[in-house]
Amino acid sequence: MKITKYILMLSVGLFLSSCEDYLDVNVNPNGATRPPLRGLLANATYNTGDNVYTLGSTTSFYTQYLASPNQASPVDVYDRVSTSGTWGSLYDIMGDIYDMKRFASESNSFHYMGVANVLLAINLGMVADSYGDAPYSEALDFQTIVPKYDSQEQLYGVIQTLLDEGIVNLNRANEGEPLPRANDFIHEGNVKAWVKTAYLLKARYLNHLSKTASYDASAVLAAVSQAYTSNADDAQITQFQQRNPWAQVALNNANLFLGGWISEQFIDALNGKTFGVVDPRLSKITNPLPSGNFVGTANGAGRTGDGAGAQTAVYLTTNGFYSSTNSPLIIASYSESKFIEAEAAFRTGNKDRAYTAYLEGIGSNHDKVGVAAADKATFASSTAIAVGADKLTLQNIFDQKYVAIFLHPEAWVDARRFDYKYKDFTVPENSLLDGQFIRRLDYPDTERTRNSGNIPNVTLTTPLFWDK
Amino acid sequence: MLCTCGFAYAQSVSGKVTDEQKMPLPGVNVTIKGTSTGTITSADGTYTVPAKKGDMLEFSFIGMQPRTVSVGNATILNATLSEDVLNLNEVVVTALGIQREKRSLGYATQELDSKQILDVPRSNIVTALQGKVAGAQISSQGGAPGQGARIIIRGINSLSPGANNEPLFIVDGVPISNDSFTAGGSSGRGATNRAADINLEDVESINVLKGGAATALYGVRAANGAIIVTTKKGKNGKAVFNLSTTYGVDEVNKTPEVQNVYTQGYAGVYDKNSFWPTWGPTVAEARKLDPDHPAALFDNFKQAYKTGTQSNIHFDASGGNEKTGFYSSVSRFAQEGVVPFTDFERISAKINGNINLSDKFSVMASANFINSGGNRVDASDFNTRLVYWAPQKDVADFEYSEGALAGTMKPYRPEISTGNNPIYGNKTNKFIDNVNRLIGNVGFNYKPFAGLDVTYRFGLDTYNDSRRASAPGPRGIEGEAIYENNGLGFIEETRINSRDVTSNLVISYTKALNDDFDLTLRAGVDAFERSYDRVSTRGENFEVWDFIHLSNASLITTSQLISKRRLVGVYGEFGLSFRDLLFLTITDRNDWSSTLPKGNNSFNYPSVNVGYVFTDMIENRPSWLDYGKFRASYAQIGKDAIGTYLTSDVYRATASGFPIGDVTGWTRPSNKADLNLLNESTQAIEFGFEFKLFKNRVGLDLAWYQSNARNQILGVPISAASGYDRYTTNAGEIQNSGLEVLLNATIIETPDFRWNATANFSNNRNKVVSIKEGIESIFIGGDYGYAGSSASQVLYPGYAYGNILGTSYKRYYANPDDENPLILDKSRPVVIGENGFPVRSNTQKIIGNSIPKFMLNIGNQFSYKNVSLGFNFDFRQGFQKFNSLDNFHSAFGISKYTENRNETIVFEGVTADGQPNTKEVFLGQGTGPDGKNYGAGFYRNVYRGVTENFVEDASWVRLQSVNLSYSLPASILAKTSVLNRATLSLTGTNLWLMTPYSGFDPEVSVSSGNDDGFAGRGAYPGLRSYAATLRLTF
Repeated sequence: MKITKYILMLSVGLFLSSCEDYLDVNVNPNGATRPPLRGLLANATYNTGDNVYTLGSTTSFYTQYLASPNQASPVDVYDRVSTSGTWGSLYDIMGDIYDMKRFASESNSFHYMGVANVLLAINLGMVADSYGDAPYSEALDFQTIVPKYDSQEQLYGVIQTLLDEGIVNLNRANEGEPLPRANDFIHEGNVKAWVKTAYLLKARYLNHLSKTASYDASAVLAAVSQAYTSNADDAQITQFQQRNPWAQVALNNANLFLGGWISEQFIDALNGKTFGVVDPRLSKITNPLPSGNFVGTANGAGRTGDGAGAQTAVYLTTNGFYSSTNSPLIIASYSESKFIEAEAAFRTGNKDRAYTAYLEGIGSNHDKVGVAAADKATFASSTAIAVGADKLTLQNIFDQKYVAIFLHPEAWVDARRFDYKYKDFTVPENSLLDGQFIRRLDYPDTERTRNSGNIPNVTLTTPLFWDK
Repeated sequence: MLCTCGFAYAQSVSGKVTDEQKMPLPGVNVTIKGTSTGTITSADGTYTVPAKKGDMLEFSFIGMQPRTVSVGNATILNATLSEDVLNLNEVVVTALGIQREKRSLGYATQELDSKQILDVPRSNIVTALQGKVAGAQISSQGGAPGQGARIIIRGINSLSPGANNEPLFIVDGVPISNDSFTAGGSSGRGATNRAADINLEDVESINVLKGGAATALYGVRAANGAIIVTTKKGKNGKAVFNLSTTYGVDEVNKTPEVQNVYTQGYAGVYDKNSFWPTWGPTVAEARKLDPDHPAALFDNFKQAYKTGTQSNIHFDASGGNEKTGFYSSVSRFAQEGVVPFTDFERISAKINGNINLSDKFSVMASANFINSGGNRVDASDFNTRLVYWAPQKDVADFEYSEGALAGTMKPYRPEISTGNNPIYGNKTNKFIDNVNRLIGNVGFNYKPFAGLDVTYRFGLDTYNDSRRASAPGPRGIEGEAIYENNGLGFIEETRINSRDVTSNLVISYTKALNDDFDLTLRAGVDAFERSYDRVSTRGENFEVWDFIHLSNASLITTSQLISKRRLVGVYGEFGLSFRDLLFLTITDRNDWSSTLPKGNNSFNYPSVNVGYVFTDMIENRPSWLDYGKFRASYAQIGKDAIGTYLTSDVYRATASGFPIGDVTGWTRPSNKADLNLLNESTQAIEFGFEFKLFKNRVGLDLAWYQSNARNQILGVPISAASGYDRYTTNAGEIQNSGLEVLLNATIIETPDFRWNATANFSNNRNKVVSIKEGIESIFIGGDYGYAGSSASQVLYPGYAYGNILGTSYKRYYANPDDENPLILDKSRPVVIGENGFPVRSNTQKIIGNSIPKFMLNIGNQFSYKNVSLGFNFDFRQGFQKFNSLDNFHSAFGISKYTENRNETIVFEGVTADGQPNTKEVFLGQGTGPDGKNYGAGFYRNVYRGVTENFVEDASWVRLQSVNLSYSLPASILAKTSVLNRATLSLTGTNLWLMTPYSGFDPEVSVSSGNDDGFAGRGAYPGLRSYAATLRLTF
């Protein structure tokens, strides 16, 4: 019995002294409790651009930039597709941007805070323009696991506030960490460039209100005039781990994992069929068929023939402007700003300003895509394009803006604001909405299973507040 | 008890102990009853004890019925022991290696001896238990060489999708790891569960502790039960040598039915370069257009899969004397899979020994080194490519053998150099793993005085797993067809180091308090540490196409994961027995875990169990009732967070898309930690009966249990808008209850012929009682289906575990409020749309459930003289699985039912207003006979997009195993001076299967996790095997 007692005492003694230390191994060695600000910046800038791609890969079917090679593919025919991945990516990056802002404010790194605001505005804008009402005031900081949905109007107010505050912070003299060059994948640490981008975004979101009573064209023009002055100001991602995501689509397609097939709507707009003039950007974006022609795929119809053997339709290619390995992933461009200016000027009745901006929007995009000066000039002086300031209509502006912002989700906002009235634009074959155009994304499966109590009751044809 | 201790003049009794086949039995305990004097028979079955006339000699041996013989005048006393299939293992090994008499246990356990384990050659200890353990659901994940198998005892006890619901494996008192990580590109490739490293020939017995009271002493890791494995030890006497060799062949036991009428092309138009393998015209029509077209289509499944082989050779040598025992073995197992270019090999070397250093002190040690690994392929990839492959070409002809393209892939659309060949894919796109594992332990036992036993065990289970996934790049030859997944060439090297260390001290004290009461006291301390370290490096885009090396890659990315957890436990047991017929045991254990928050990481859980052998109390019990026992137990089991680092948030440099150049991207974690995490706690109740009837010829064991697991720690999926994807917290309760019945009977017993039958039955009702407020459901897994027909397994509060959800045909309800929003009612008429085709409902509904309603296994064993024949049938009924293979087959016109594609029919159902449907529609593609454009056709437009069409009844009845064996009779053995035993057996596994499921064997599973409702493309086919085994004992 004595021995038992000794052993017990020994065990208990050893126990009490080392137990606490022995068990203190639950600090995670795979990360850090305080991330480096520039690490968050790298992630925030790059993945905001990637989100533009992710959303664009769905909206491009609604704007008929792309078409599915399979007949009656769900995204083509307005079937309800679950965009849990898109929603997740948008909120995921907003969470990281929110943290970046929080950590930056602790050290008065005003430029970081300004950039955070601009990035939040971009992502929130994508959410609001695709889904309408969405969580924000109760979101991002784990206040609740079931955040309530703010109204779209409120979100638009938040976007403008974020941009205004962002501009203020970017203009302040920095006290904390400066914006580094290598970790800023959009503007390489150039604070002035960020300010211009903030103004362009202000203009973009103010311009979205074109169908509402609160549309203020002069406010749009005021913002645009502080925005970009050339293609060099464009907000875009030019560095990737391997390649531009659209290049991956093109590469996969070349390996018969089909995707990136260009819609008939877009091809006809450039091959002369719709407007009577061949746009020299076409051969920069994709390659012709063996016959030398460019033929697109009708949305909802799927591929003609069997999709193999001789090629019968064009698709994104690995040498195209938008889908090469190092192609820029464009978030906001000078060309876009010119079209915003053209539209706002037109709506104020200033046709001259509108026409100049319209031509500049077209020309700058030709430059960006790499069209030769002679071809650019020929196209610009063609009768379809050079209509003259007096004969300029919104139709011209929207039709040409459509071509200039190929693959960008902003084109879907334009389409809805313009009621899809692009020339020769029709609902896709086999469409499921009784001949109506699609007006929004449905809320994703993840929200329906995890936050169903807060989801507003909408269908795919319920218009957003600026689309009524 | 009589004490016959008196010293008469010294006399010794000797003799020989044999079994019913007159074979000598080494290792039999021969004890003089009432004393501690005894010995063990030597290799030739002989013994000598100092006994005198009037003494009773007790002969006992595991697996045999004990005999007691009184010593008469003769000094030679031989004994014959007969096999005791029923009263197997009077003494069983329970938690912590403690041997208990089965009669004293208040909970259900089940034992298997070496013979039962090895009746059919198995490469994996988990599949060796198939059908033998009531209450255990064992599923082979598939027939890939070395592929893992999963065992769940008494239902799934955790809501968390990634939770490990498997029991703890304990070998010789030391827990070992049963991980099956899918890191390094091995997901979908049939990763091995690490318990498969155990060499079954080294196993003496297995005892299954089913949870609750049985595992209360083991603590958190055994919350789902424990499988106690005892390996063979050396015995006193002449050395014994065993040699066994097995050779077998495997084939796929079931493939889906495919149509062989229509060939390559689309919409009935022939095109030998078409992407579409079977939407073209009939074979006859194609041959008119293309003289090269074969007379009959190939069956892709028969061509792609081949006959596999397996072989095993094992040698062991053991021996010892009164003070020591020594066992050593070497074995090699090798298997070539039914899928081309797959294999698995395992080499095991083991030694163990025990020494009595003195009367009171003994030491035991063992070391087992295992090397295993093989080439694994991705089943989903293989099966998907088979779907695309045009059956007019032979898929087994996978590469060019001559010309400029020799050695490159032969695609099914050769004129345009495209069309992935899955066999070529296996040849070039490799995943090879190589595991070196050492399981060792050292133990000391000290018995200072009668009744006190101090045992200390130190155990180590460490392995390093070296995995390489690779594929060469394109050669750059004109006309070369590239296998899609090979990309531009890649190599991914993963190194995993894992180490489990256990240290356990237990002190037991037994004392007979008086004539009626016996007391047992135990106290112990247990410390455990698991550390895990994984590094992966991936290089892509090769410069030189066939130099598979990281230095040849232009893009290098790498990742690392480190993890460590520790657990300390203190436990005690109090046991009281009354007249050896009434037993009471109370245990308590307290654990401290590193994975719970500091300052709140301690949890305590008691248990109590009672056993009552009531037959000993019945005065005039019926002659047929030999033994009857009633058992009852109540136990709490605590469980810590199985994952490490769940109590704090850290940011990681693992943002998506990074690193870019030399820039890293940081991101917040996707899981939000709960700083106030508590331990889980399960409460389990169990009642049972054991009976032995008709002079031990019939044994019956019944158990009923219910367990409620509360405060489940799980990663609750939350709205992404909250800023995180999951929140790991205590949320939810899950309940399991069910019945287990185990019946053994010796139906006929004569000197020459014997017939034994066993049956075990179990059902388990599993229910999700609650989930944290605000969360509607938990997604545990999914499988892809075309056009919105993906299936998922989701848990809802109040509903059973294992529900399979997806889209379905819209059903008609005169009153829409009658429709249950969650559960599909198939009895309702289908709504047919204006176009004449059925309408799809997009709401996710419960279509089926993957948990069986009951499981039953019936086995029979016949033996006549030296020949024995056994077979068993396995039934698993009342469950469904999602068949994504058929989903793909319907989309590509391969399923047999698509032969009606050119017919015009009227779909049965009602229109939107409830009227019977009358509209005729063409099922084919393109323009129908009525001039309308049917586009891609019914199967592609409608059928393939509805999950309901692919959730199939997976119930089965199978002839699980058949074995026939012959042992050389003693007369012949005596002629060879060396051989003590020689047995030849022939076995067949899975010889016959009856199931309504249309795909592969429904036992297989795509996932190795808790979502086992998917048995489609991503799963390996099941196997039918034939093997011959020769066993020799020297």
